[in-house]
Amino acid sequence: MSETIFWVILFLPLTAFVLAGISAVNQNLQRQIPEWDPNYPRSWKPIADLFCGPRLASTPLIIALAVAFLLAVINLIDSIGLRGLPLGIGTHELFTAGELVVNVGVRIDGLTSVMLVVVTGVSLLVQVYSTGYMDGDHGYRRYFAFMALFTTSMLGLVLADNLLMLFAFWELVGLTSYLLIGFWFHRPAAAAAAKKAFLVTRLGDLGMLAAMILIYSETGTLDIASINVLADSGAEAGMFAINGLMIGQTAMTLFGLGLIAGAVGKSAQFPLHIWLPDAMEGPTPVSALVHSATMVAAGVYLLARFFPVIHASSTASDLIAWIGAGTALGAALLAMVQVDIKRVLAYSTISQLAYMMFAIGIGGYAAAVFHLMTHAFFKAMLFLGSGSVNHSTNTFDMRRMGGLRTLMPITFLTFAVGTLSLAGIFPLSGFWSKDEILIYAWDHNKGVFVLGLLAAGLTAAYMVRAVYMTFFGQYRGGEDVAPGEHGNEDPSHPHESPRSMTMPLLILMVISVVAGFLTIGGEFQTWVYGALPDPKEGSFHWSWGIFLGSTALALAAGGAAYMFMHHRDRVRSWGIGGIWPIPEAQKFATELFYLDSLAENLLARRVFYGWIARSSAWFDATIVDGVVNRAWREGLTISNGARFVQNGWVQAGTLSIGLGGMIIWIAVVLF
Amino acid sequence: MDPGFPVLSLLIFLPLLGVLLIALLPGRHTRTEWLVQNAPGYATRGAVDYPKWIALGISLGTLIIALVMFIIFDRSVSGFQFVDEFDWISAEAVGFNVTYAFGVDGLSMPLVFLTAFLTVVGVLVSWRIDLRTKEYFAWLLVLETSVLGVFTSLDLIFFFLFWELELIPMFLLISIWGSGNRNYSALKFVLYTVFGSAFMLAGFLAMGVAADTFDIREIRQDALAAAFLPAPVIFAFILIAFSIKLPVVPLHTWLPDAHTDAPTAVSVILAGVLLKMGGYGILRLLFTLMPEVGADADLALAIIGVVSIVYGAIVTIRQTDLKRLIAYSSVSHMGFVLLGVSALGVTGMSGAAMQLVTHGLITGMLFVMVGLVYDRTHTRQIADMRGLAHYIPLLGIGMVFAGLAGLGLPALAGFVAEITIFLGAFGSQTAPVSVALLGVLLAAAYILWALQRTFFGPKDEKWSHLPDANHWSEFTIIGALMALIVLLGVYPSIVMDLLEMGVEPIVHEIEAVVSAGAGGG
Repeated sequence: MSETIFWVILFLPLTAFVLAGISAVNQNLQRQIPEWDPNYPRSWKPIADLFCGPRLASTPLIIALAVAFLLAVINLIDSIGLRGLPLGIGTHELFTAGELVVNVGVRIDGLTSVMLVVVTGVSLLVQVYSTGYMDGDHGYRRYFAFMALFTTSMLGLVLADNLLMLFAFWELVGLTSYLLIGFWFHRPAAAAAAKKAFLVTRLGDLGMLAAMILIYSETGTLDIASINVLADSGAEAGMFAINGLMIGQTAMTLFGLGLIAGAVGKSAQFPLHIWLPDAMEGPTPVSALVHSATMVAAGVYLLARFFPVIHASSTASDLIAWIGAGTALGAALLAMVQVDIKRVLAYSTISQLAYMMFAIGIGGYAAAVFHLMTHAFFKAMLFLGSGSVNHSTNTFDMRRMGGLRTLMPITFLTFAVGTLSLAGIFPLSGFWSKDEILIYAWDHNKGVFVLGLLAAGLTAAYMVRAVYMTFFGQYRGGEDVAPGEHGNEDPSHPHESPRSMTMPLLILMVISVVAGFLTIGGEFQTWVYGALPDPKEGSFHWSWGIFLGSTALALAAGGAAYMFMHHRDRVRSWGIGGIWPIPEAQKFATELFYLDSLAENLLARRVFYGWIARSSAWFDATIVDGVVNRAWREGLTISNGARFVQNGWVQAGTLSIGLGGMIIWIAVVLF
Repeated sequence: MDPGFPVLSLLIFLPLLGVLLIALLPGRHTRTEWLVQNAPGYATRGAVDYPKWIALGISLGTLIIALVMFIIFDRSVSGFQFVDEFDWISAEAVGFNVTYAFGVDGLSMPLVFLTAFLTVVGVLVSWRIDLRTKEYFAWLLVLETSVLGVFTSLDLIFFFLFWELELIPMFLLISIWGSGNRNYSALKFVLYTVFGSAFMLAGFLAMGVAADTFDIREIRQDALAAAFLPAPVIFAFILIAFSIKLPVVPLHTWLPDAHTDAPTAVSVILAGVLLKMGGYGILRLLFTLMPEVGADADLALAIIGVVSIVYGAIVTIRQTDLKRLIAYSSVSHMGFVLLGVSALGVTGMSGAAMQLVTHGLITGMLFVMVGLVYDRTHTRQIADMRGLAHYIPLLGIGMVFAGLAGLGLPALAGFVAEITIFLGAFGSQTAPVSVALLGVLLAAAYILWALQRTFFGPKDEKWSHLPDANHWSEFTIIGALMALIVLLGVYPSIVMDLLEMGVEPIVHEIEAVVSAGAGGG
């Protein structure tokens, strides 16, 4: 396909953003028209309404994404025909400053093609769902404007052919994530969560920024393909050198570590995972699209994109493998004790992204990308399912749900399929991708494998617990609509969501069931291997041992969780309150291992704001400015003291002249 | 580019023509003044307020001339264009030769445009002022002439004259139309600047007398060997003046006071263009005339820059007054200019010059937004505000946009400048740049936190009466600033090419002396 097509894919949602933005601004303008111009011509009203209607915000975006999705599918088919090999598509100069040449350009290979389909596809379904979920919300137009901007930025991120462009879009998805988390800005929690998300991810981005500056100053290029070829060339005597580019081993390691910092922030890995659960304050479709399927996967995409760089240094690859493995297990432990269904899913997302991370760390590049894709579909479905539940119960608190199995059958069906897929049950897509990672881990790093396997068991357990609390047992009444909010007026009678919401769920369910089969025969792997400097044929791994072991573990853990939940009262009578038998362990987990309070209360609030910033501000006002004011005051005092000389009396002036003359005369005579 | 017509002189002195026109208008009678202040609505019922329309017309005329110059500026030739010159004082015997010489090159052209643009913004944002409007708008136009003069002077004496001329309107604008502790702030601003000017004048005289000319194009470092002060001392003297103006830590404390107490338009012009005179001076005078000293001072400049960036940002976080917070953020942002300059390369210096332009637009917009909010709430205390976005959503959009631009979001102008500085300076100033990266995080922290506390959060009934943006002047300003910030963010070449042209000769000079120094041992 020609280059124009990819710019079209990028500009379609951007156009929708402009239209939705006009609509949102117009809404606010119209609100006050009578106030500022009493002679506002009423005959303009229909024209103004045309640009103010809520559908102007959503319809263009859905059409744009449908077209973009079609183009992405056609491109994927093309790309498959080429075995995923890169089509070096155009680069254009944006600006220069001395030696620095900044380009914008697109690069299409198997990895990009897969990402394009995932982003446009999930975004399309989420937008359709949103027309139902957000219907009647005051900020409907603003919502779709932000969503359109997000999709544009995400597409730009995966299309970018150089690191600076990638970084720019990376920051823009961070911005749209900020805007969407804080969408309901009247809630203090949402406003705080938005800021937290932006700052924590930006902390990681500093690493990425440093990495970018470093690689530019070492090699003079920001082109992703050139950097990868350089990293893939292998070090000789501590130097990578190919095609006239050179970089030392240390610099390459630092570059890899910087990228990892960026990825850890964006993909919410330990220790920067703390923003993602709070981000659930955003509208649920946002959580589905931004905070599970696409944006948080951008960190994985980044490391996959720079796979040769990560593996050019064993420090970098080991680091990400262990961060991933630890996060996979830790987040799964935290998911066990959450009572908010979205927070369960959030920790689950962290845990699943961690699988992809350690897969990249141990070399399972294609497996990581495959899991990224399948996870995007089934996790988006799970989030949308939780939104559907919320739509009729007004709550995310699972203690106020229950028994929704019969009341919301489609939601239950899709949520159950998502759960099984996430738990890795044969033959759903999650099974194929997760097992592929575990097989890879078994072959390459046993320690990581053990952590991953434990996390897989916990995954089944926490999901069964969530499903049980939401869909089984007695309905516990939901929650009334908060004043000033929008929701179901009668939460005591939950109902199935409208078709605009259930259709996307069903479509995602079908995809979640079938997507896994892409891996059989190693086809999928071949496409994405095409993106590497040194492409190879994919091959399909199968291990009866791991298949049986992981399935048995998932079933056992899920079954145990089910028994625990089902016989909750009897378990309680044995003196066990939570899912953790020891109360201290339970508290440790509900307090999120104290990581959040350590970062927020101690580091940010106490040490930085209370100590560093306060003493700096004191220093500035008292010392720096104090010196200035003191000098000023002293100057005035001296002037005042000298003022008596300038008293304007002729006699005094004459006296001074006389005295001065005498002094000079004496001086001349004496010396 | 020679249009065969003294277009540059016209540009510089057109605002003074406006001043003359305004001065010739009849003043408002004392009784009228009393009515305006005590009878609500009198001003709107009365006659057209001519001074502001004249000021708008004149400043728009200046902007159009600047825009035409910007467009017809010949981008293929380096050096000064639109040059107007003739001898002013020729005292050959005592070596005191002053030339009336003005011209623009790639470095000053964007700044000239910025000045003309922000003056229009300043006039529009003052649209509702009704205290002594005649004098107010006249002084704004005098301010414009003086700043344009600084950016285009090719002679040290004229540079100094215009540099000093700027103080008079600033002093009066802050102390008459300001708020809070305005007399203190105005006096502090003037005294601080004059303190620096004394050093600058000494430096200029030393240079001019030694070189037999004050023409910037002719003075070169070789000629300064005979000066009565050694070159590094001259450099330091002039640097003091520019560091106060820029400002850099620890010479910055006049800035938050002056910004906070100045009327909105003056804050906009102060942050938008007056601070840029410092950065412009460093590039135009220090590094062009004394490249050798400049090349030796690179590490010192980088360290001062980084301290300004990080320390400025940390102090910003603690501010409780919204306007003061933005004022402090300027200290942090101007540190990037020094960092970029210290790279001594085309990339870093272009980035530094770009930062001058983009910071002018972005911080100008932030002050506009804060001013518009203050017009409505009559408070600037962050603690008093909450959930403003519910009642003034359009101003909220403007404020969030400006804030995001300020924290260096890609696709907006500030990002281009910062990233260019980072990429350009890392090679030569590795450690300072690494520390400066923290500034990016801190900027996000103070801006987002301020937005969270003022515009977000639950509704507060006490603000329910606030009118949103509702006047054509407000829409014009916000729209124009947004458009320019996006334009420079997605297509920086329009300005970057010029700035690159402007700094290239400077870098060549530096490279020449550095390689000569290395060759000579």
